[in-house]
Amino acid sequence: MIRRALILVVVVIGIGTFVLHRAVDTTHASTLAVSATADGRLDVKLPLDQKSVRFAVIGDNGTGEKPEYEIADEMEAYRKAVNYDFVLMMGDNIYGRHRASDFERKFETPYKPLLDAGVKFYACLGNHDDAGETFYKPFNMNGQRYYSFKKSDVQFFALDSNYMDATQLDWIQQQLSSSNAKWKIAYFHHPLYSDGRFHGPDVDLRNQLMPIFEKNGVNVVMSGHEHIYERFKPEGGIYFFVLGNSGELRYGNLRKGSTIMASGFDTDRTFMVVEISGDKLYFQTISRTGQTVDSGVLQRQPKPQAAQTADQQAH
Amino acid sequence: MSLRKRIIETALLFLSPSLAFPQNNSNPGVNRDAAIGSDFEQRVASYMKIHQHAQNGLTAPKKTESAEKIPEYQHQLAAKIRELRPQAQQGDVFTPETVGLFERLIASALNGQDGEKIRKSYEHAEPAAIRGIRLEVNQTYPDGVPLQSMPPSLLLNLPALPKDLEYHFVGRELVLLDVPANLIVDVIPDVTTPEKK
Repeated sequence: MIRRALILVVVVIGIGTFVLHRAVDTTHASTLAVSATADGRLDVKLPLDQKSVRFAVIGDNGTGEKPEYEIADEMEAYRKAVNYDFVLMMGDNIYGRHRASDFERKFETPYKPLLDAGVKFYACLGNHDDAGETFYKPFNMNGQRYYSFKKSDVQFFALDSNYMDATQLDWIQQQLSSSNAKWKIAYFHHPLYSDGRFHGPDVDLRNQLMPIFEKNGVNVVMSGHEHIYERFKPEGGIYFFVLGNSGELRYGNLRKGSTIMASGFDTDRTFMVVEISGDKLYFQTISRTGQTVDSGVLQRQPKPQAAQTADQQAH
Repeated sequence: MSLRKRIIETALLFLSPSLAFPQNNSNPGVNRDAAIGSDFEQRVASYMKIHQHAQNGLTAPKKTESAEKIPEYQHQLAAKIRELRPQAQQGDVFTPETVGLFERLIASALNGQDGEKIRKSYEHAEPAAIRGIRLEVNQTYPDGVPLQSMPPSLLLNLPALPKDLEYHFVGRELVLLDVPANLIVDVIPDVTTPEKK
């Protein structure tokens, strides 16, 4: 009887120690095995067409804590399977202080496998970011708060939603109207649409940007800030995503009963992989534990008349 | 009102009061605001001369792998600016007259058709995260404290600034921030913010 009691005590202490260790363990090494389907292969929903543009998306990632590292591990597994070569960052890239050690812990270490494989990160600024991040070479911002870059026939517009002044609005209008890219993707930190209860949509920003986006044929808008994942039914003919839970998370924060949500996930961290092939955009959103929480294909929208005229003039 | 038209009208109002308003003084209040705006613009330009002078001899880290070099440049630039304006104090750029003008412009935006959107946008920016922080002229903006995003419709109602300067609400203050130096240029304390009461 005494021996049984002692064995029970030892077992309980052992379990308790294990649970406590896991709860406070914020060290760098992820102890989660990269998950897989039952036959050991990753669940890949992308077609992996030749000459397609493939990238990953993360947002509000820069915590330096274990869930960020676990997401990064999943990202590396998918990089090997999908072969994406760049990542869009939705802002809040580095939380808290911005010492060299913070960049190391909150970016360089978790994403080291990706960086070593030559994956490029294209960041935009969130409200927790320091303007000095525009000079940090691995973020590829080239000293600019807002900038544009092209990959094949997809043009990306990274904006600074912290300070949307007249100069930036003029720049966006000029850049979008002169672009003849097949796909135009804008991304910035503060979402124009959101069913998150903590922040919600930035309606003033929406007021300023939507007319420009609609007039100039923006196809997709991606944002972070809300620490959940959400995909929307098209608004103004544009596809919207919020992905702000690649490090941070607000558990259970999505409003119920939304009429604009197409898909939402708020119980774990995620990242997204995207493939653009011709007129189709394939996406797959994957959780920290490797579960596919959303996936699908979006058809490229026809360009509005004004954007079509600009294309013709360019040619 | 289109964006382009709004920019042109704001520019005319603050940069060319004699062009914007005839000499018959039929709008004395508007002429007064135009004069205050012109004075503000000149004070900003004077500050920018100090900023540019401080930049001489420093190399901005255009693209650096080293995260250490980024705050290093900020600190060096801020230190040189402080040397060049050692007596700087609140009111050097935001004079009492300018403070009155800004209060009127902010009130105009908040009471206008975009007022409710401005308030909601401001709430979006997590103002609670920096409530209670008070800043001083020539101080560095604290590392690790998130900057408030500015509602764009409100920004469009304020005088335009050169590239390296930005307005930000910090708690109950409106701050003029030198972004590359991460330095507080001037402060309007106890300003009306878009925060819902």
